[in-house]
Amino acid sequence: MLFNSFQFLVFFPLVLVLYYVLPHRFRWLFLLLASYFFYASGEPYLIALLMTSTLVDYYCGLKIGNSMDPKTKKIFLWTSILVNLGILVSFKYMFFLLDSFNGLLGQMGIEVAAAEKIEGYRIDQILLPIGISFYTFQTMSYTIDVYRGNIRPERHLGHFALFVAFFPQLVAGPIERASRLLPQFKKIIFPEVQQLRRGLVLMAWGFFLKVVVADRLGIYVDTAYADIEGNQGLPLMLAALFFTFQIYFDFAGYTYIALGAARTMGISLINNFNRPLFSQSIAQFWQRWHISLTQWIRDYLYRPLRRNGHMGRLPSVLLVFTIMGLWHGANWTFVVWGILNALFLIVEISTYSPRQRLFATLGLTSRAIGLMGWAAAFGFMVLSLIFFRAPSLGEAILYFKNLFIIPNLHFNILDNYFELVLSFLLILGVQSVHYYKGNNGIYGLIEDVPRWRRWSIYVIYIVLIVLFGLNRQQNFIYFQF
Amino acid sequence: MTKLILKSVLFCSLLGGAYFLLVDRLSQGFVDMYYPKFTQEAGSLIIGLSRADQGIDPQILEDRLQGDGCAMPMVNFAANQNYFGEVYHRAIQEKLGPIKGQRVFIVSVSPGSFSAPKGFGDKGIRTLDGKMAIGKAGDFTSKPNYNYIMNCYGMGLYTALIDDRGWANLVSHENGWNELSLEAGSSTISRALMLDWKKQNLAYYDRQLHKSEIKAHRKEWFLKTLDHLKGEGTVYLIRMPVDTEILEFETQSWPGFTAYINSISHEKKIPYFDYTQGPGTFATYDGSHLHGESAKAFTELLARDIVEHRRKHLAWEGL
Repeated sequence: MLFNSFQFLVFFPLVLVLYYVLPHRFRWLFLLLASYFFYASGEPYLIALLMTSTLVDYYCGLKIGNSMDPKTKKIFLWTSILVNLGILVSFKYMFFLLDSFNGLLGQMGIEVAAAEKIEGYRIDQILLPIGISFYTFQTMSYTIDVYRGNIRPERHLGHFALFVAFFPQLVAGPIERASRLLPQFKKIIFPEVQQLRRGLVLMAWGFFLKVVVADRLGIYVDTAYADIEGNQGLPLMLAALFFTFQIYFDFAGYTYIALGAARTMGISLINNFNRPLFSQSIAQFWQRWHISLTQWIRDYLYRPLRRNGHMGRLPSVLLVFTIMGLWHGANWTFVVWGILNALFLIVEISTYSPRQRLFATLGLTSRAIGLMGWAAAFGFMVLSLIFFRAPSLGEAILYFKNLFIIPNLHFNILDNYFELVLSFLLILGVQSVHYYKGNNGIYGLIEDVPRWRRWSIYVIYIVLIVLFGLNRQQNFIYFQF
Repeated sequence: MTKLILKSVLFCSLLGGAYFLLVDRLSQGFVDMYYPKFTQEAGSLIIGLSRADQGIDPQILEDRLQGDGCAMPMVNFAANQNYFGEVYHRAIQEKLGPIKGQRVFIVSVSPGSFSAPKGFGDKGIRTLDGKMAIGKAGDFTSKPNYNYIMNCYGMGLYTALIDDRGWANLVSHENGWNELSLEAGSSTISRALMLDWKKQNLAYYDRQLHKSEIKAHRKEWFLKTLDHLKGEGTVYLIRMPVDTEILEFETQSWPGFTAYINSISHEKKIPYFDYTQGPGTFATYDGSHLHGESAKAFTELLARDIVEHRRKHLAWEGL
């Protein structure tokens, strides 16, 4: 079920009302059933994967928690990790790996008869199953935390199943930690006006970002990427710029809805963003973009690699960013995108001191340094995201080749100047709100302000969403990951 | 709490009310070039891609075939992304109203109708087709069709407040035909522009040649669609006239296409009229699509061929 669908507009209020009507002891069951219904409304049979992951990690968690023997603990930890990674690889990466292997054999001059067939399945595999990378990472973090002794194993299967399947964050995060989420399911929650209001405001802002801004930018981006050869020069530059904002608003839109929906039920989720496109370096960008994933990678991958000197700093950065890229999708384009980020980060870190000395010599103000840093980081993101968006490495390279062909100044590829101007205005408007209020303070727009101003904002919101919202019911981009 | 609930209800009512008001207003004027295809039950259908969409005038066919007891109305249900497949098959089933005579189906074929991007399997194709209007619309026959506007309309509803009838040279008829006029008031499509379009079209075909391929899924559902249509009425397979250069590209993309369609025609006993022979007879505006006048002349020829075939067929049956 999509957040931006009519089904969700019926589903969510119904769930919210019944959630508060039911006594606390039944709420976990109700939320679990609602979450399974939410997930199964797309492809019902995929719920089996979710349940498998749940049961394996529940069992492994208990075994790890109950055992005093380090060897037994390790066996169950690796059982959990291997099952989760096995599911992930089988359903997301299998055909990519086979395809790449066949490609390698082909390069070596070895004929592979089944290569055609594998290629024929590749796209289908990428499309399914929704949210698998999110919930497998979430459940893995649970067993690792139990193994490390950070948390005690959850004995209530229902609560644990809800931790894995909680519908607001099931398909595209944020990737929650058991230590944060599980205790909240056990807490008796009473409806509070402020929580409800804040939740609804977050959801409204998320819908706005998705249906008014991200989907609008997506039309231009899709048109440009559909025919890279035919849209050289300026249209490709504009599409690259628009995609940077599209993916941010799309993912942030989803996250706001997830956060808002959870908050109306009295449950707090981690915010995935903190004004990432205002970052003044790539290092800062990764501390502000998809925060729950970067924290996961830091805690469960980067730090263990660095601990006890297993791996040096630079190879570790390269490895985790490669994995982070691959996490996004079974395609070499994501791997290249991850590696590019790692390389930029490495250059950024290794040149930090000489840069500071140079800036001091030149007598640049901190504001000017910040602005330059922002321009470099933002420019890098715009360009590197071409790999993220392009369907193949070949097309990404073609995109770069055609990007700087100056003669083509015809950027109005949709033949609609109004839409183009509107897109720029919306980007400007949304980024202004994010700049002044931050990703965590959107509800500040209507809190502690005079009534006339609050109602003006409501009316402006209604006008904007009704007049300029698009009914495309497009999937959120991160759903496919 | 009561205050919050009341405010929320008021907010949602205002939002919903304004939304439906604009949807209704939009439905009373020009929606988009495909909307008229979704606003009536069809007796007979024109099926295919954009060439059939712009190249066949249902009104002429209705006029010529009415005497033969042809089920009306004839609707042009062809569009530029209506490839053969499960999604189009189901849309065709939904589109047909109750039988009120002998249904006629004109199925336009070209290699493009059977293609999809390389690397796409059955599920990928279904997903791709599902994103088109025929996949997203839940209602194919109502007027006004709110469902179409809510699910398929690609613009913001602000267009309901401005008198935008789209491109002046393109007239979207109530029966689904999209007629491209070379002259519409002050807007004239020059010969130079047409040549430029043709050049762009050829370049586009050239690029697509390496990106897409003929799919078994499309062939399979093409046959299923033909079987279904045969059970409903009389089917005519046709290939629309195009310029020689475009035809060469199509032959390159699927050299055995004519043989394939001939074999289907023979096997399923469905007449096949190939109008690609004799280029230049019907002028296109971009090498691929007939302009309005050309489309009318072509439809006259098509109607004549169908009438002739029906007469022969009926005479043979009478013997």
